[in-house]
Amino acid sequence: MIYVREIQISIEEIIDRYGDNIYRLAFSRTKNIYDAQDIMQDVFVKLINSNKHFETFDYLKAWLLRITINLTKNLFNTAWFKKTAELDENLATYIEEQSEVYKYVLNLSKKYRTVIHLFYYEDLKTTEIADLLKTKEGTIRSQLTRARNLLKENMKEVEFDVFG
Amino acid sequence: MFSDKYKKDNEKIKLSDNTKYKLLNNVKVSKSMNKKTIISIGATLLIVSSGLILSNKSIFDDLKNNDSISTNITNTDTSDALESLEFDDKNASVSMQEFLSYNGKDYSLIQNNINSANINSIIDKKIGTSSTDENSNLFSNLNNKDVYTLKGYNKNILLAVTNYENEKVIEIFQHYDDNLIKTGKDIIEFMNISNNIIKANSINENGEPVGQDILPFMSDILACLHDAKNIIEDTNLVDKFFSTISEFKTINIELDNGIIRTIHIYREGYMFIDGYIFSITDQNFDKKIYDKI
Repeated sequence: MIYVREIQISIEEIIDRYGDNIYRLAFSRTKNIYDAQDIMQDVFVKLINSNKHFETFDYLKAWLLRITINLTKNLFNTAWFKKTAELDENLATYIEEQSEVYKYVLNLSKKYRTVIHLFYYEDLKTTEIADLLKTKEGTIRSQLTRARNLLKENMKEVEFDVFG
Repeated sequence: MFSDKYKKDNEKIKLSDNTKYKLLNNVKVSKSMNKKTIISIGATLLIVSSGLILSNKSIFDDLKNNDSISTNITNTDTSDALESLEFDDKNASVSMQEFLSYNGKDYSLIQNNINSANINSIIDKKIGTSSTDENSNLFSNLNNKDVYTLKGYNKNILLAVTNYENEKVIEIFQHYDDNLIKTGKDIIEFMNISNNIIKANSINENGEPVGQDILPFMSDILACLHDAKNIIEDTNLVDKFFSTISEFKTINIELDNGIIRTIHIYREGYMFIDGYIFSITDQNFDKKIYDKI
């Protein structure tokens, strides 16, 4: 059973609330829908086995993001992932045609994709990202700077209004 | 603003209701399933994944051809200028990875067919019994296991025993630490394969031994591997690897402790082991080793 503020929350509700967040983070790291789905399932299996009590929904979300990152780290080290780590051609074409900036982010390396995603999609502060990734805030700041510079270089051909 | 655009793009990446439903079902089933069924699933998954790896013409052919992953992309929101990116694959089964977590490090299952007869001679110290409580220092996601270190290995490789009635399921788990594996020498030491190989065979796509006994060639193979560099972190070198490779042979080596390791050897002078790609420095590798095995 999962509790937030002593109130029992169903796994359905948690998936409804955060399923897409977990899926998007897993996809941004793995670039593979199947791996992202597997990771997502493992995250919720971990959650349902944890019997955790969370003080707030923010804590629950942070826990889910951290587990997602840990599980993708684990996946990156497997032979199977390294075999299928490239973006599927159909998917790559689709993202190329249909996304405005996502395609540029996906071209970044994993660590830059992750900090960009957590900062610009999840709106986390650099201290919070550092906590999730178990690294120093200074490292996150420099990774963000480097990632932004890479994006600026890669996005030269589009009208680019700098980062908000 | 970049942030708004990135969020807008992300909003288009979502699970279909169908996939969400399957996910929910699988999560619930994993909670209620009895232990033996779960163990069987773990074993089946391992066999299936091994089969997938072994059954490829080349383990990288699919990747090179970009046709290994068929993606059914459904565009549901036609009212928007940018269509919705909704990924749905009705045939995709969401599988379950069995893993351990010990001292904050995650371990993946790498083998589950260790012979239990000589287990006492290969285990070192008992670490403890894993719990399915995620807060536990020794956590396993599927069932409680007695976890041991193995003689000849550091704590990145662990052996776990799950008791079920009169059966023991023995599994080997491995933590992957990329910082440890820089060269072939590192992987040889990590896998402890320098002096205890008892069998070495070429295997076909079904994992069956084929061709000659490779054991007499293992010392030459390991000598080449010893000086090789792990290139997995170097994007340019990995790209070069993908564009260069043409054919490979797969060999299984069995160690005296029952652990089996698989090595893919490429004509162009690469070895693929455990997710790492090693670039061989010996220019005559193809004639000296590859053509002989």
